[in-house]
Amino acid sequence: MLLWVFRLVIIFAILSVVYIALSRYYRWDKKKELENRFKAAARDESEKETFIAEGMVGYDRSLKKRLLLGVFALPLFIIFGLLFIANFM
Amino acid sequence: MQIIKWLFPSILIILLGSFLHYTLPGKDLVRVVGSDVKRVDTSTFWDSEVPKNETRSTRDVRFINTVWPDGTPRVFRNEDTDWSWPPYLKFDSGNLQAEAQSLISTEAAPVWVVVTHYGWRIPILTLFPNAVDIRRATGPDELLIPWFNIFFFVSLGIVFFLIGRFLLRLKRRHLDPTLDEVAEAFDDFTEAAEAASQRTRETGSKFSRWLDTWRAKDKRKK
Repeated sequence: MLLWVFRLVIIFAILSVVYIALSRYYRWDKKKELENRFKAAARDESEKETFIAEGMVGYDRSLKKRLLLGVFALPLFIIFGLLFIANFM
Repeated sequence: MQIIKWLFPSILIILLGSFLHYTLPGKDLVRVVGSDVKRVDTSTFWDSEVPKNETRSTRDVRFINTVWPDGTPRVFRNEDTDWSWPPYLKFDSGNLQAEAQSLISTEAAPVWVVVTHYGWRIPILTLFPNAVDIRRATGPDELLIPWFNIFFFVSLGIVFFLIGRFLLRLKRRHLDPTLDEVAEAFDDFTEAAEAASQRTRETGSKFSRWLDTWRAKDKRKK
């Protein structure tokens, strides 16, 4: 029994690593996109910091960022779905 | 040469497919005719379900003998998987045997059952599928829908789709621009090299121009 708790913890650890890596990647990507947009609009250099900060706040509130939590949700849903079907159907 | 391109993925798919076909549950609609217990020598293949702390040369295996509706035999073994692979966590082979025995019926008054199992029947290797569950069927022609397998493959498809989509995104946004830059730099280099060689063809190589300086003025080539 303890072995399955152990395995669940390992799965959770791996998913955490994946989540952190993906989260960082998407933040970096969004920042790059904001920087390119800033350069294309050819605005004043002094406004760059505030522009990027505002853009990142918008990203923090976005659906895309919250969907990333699916990295945890989907495997859990699959595992419990399979368990349910195997035992209660 | 082209063969090698699709050989490796095909082999991979065949291996994965057969692994899944062996491990995932299937349902058979059969009639139980009897049960057995036999002493079997432990083989290297399907006795991986022997508990790890025991080393035995033989073990007892329960069998459930059944027939298909058309009379062809179908024999299952009934063993615990315990905690090992495949992860069916089956500990109730004793109970299952009793249930199977209670469902034994004759051809005259058949009782049709659905046996959930995994594994293959390969007579030449003495392989038997492992029965996991038995229940009564509504009749010899009940429609059996493999919900577990459907859910499993749909989930696998979704996961592969999401991963593939992410990798394509990586390729599109990061790999392709870099490759384009490299191709462009290479084209620029080729252009410059061709222009230089063209110039050399017109004026002659440095060496032949130097040789010319040694010739008499009226015999010079340039």
